[in-house]
Amino acid sequence: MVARHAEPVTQMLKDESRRIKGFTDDLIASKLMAMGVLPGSVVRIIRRAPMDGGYYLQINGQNIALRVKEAESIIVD
Amino acid sequence: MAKRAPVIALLGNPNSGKTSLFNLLTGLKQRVGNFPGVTVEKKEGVLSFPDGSTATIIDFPGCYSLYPTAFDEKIVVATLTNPHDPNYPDAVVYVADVTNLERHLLLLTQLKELGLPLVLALNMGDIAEKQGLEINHNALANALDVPVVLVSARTGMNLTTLQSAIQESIRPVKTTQKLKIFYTPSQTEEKVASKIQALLGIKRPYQSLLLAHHADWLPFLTEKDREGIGLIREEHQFEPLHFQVRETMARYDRFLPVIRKVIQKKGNSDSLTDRIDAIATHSLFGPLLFLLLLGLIFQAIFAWASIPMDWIDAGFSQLTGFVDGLLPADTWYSKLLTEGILSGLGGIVIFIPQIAILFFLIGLLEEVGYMARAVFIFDKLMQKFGMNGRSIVALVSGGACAIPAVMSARTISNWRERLITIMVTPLISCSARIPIYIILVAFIVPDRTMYGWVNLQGAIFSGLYILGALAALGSAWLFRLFLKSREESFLMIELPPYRLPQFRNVFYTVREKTLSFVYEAGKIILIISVILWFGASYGPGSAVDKARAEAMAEAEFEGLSEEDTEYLLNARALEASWAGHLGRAIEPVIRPLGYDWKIGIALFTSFAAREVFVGTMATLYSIGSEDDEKRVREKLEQARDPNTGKKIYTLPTVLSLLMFYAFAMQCMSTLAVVKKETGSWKWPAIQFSFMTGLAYITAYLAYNITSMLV
Repeated sequence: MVARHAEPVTQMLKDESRRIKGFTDDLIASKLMAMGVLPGSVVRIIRRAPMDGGYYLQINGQNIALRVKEAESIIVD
Repeated sequence: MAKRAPVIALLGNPNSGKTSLFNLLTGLKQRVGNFPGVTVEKKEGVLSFPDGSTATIIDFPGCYSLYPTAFDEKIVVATLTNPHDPNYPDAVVYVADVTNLERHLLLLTQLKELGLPLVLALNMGDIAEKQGLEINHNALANALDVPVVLVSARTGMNLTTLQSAIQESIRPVKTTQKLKIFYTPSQTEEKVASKIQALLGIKRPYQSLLLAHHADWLPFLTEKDREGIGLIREEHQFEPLHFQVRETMARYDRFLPVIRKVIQKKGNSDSLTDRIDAIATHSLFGPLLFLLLLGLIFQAIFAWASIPMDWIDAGFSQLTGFVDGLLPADTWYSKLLTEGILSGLGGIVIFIPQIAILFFLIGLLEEVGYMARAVFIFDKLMQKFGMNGRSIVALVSGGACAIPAVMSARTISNWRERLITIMVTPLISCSARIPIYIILVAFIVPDRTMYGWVNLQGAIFSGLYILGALAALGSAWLFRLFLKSREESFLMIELPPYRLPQFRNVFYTVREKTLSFVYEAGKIILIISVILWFGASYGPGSAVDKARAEAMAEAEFEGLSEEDTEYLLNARALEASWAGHLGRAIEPVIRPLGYDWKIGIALFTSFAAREVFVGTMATLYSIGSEDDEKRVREKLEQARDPNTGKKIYTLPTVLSLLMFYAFAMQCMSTLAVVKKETGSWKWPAIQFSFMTGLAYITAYLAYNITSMLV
């Protein structure tokens, strides 16, 4: 895999799998971490919601729906 | 004081199958109450042990950690950080999905440090077996220092073992053992915790650490406690969010290696779920599928509910006839029983089929995992109207009954989104409006089919439902402009794998929601029916008797037939009754809407509950007859203004009534629930005013515009 720079999940290509490096928002991070979304977890974008709404993500094999703002706060390697 | 039964708390993440296990453990021995001071639903049941002794088991709302944001999750922390709470458990059964153990144990490690005896129930044991998941029980039990039982709420696997383990956990034998610690607090946290411990006399350091985090909202703290904790936090520059993140990370770091050692993982993408979601969450097919499901649900209500409703109807008229035959005729108590109480009871029971069917179907969608998808699809749209994707559940449930629907908004953590959802949900046409619609719609269009399949009445019905939904969205949009909030709002929802439904769970959901309707709305409907009967049977002084005597003389003079005499007698008696006086009193206000004083009476009585409208009409036009919609309609059709001789129920009046009942806040029970949910009378008062205002204006427009056209 080509090494890429750190960027938010929202910049990922569809079907690309990358590892979470960290979070930019403590409040969102605290909730995500309680759900098992941690630094080191592998993320993949499955699809977007209608009207460019939220993101349907697969994180460590778990399906999670996030708003754009929530997804933006996740930084991947 | 009598020794209370031991209390067992059932805790776990959402989607851990906790409630499923609760249903399995308690069966029919469960009831729904409220946690003290708040309206968060408390599901409580009796847990029987193999030796015959029992304990109380409480199904707490699912949550991910002891750092909650949603209203219903907060109750978990409020109960567990307060050993004086009546629901403070003697032991905790922690339910975790064994196929996803890595992310289900955070809360468990937090609970451990509160010093509560724990049993870990690893749920979905059957699925784990199918997936060939290898679990080393003993190693896990040792590493976590809790008894572990592999169970399945689906198949009932190892249920007795679990019961024995629970019983073991509440035996008061243990000396205080050394706690296995999954988190070593920082110096600041330690200092803050020990100062709060000293201040409030708390035993566990972790308990006081939680108080430091949640002091602002924990309900059991006094203002003085809150101030004290605030000062301690300031002194040590305690930053809750920073420590929360640090603690969460540290816990994962400690328990993840443990789990990886004891459980052999498999590849875990669920291909069936992925394939279903390719359609169910598709940006075009997803919403279409949702609308299709919604259409099917309401179709099912009409197709299925009418049969049991006919039975109930027939049953109640039989019963009324039977009771009537038993008691001496024409006494006040036989009339009270048949015309007041029995007709009131019938008015409640008649709704059970519709409500039960709707909640059965919604429960089914919830149970298979579809509802989370609907939340995801509609989040963006709902946000435009100041709500949350989760609001969709309340809005759909509102089609059955606003009472449980309003309560379901508790999963929304943002106050503004939750409030708007609560405020607009009653605009969705609930099942109580159906009988009114049935009578009134039959007036304006014949029961005819067009193009072979479009039922005209059905089309008008759908129109009314759509109107309700549009009004709900429109009002939400307005509320959004007026209500400001800087509080964070989240979507962040798990989309669990699709599973075959367990009908046991759906059954308990239906039972719970239906009972909440019967109790909450039923008692009010019953009281109103009795009051209505009284109001329509008696008047000031001897006015009713006098009116009857006068009418009798008039009938004889005119030489009326027996039937016409009876009609005249009843009409005059009613005019002279309290109800008649009331109707006349409000007539000037409702005249512009095209209503006469009789409709006025019905409007007034149905302020308590819409469904009373039909009963009132039955009483007003043929006192004592059963609530038969067809007969009521025939009577209404004949109704004429005694002064002008014109028909009262003309197209403009009927349309105006339809508008009024579609929008008016005519349900005291819902107002009461909204008061409980929002914590003040302010919001139900606003809700009542804006809905009634909307109803009045639309009814006025409908009446006047159609009057001009016809």
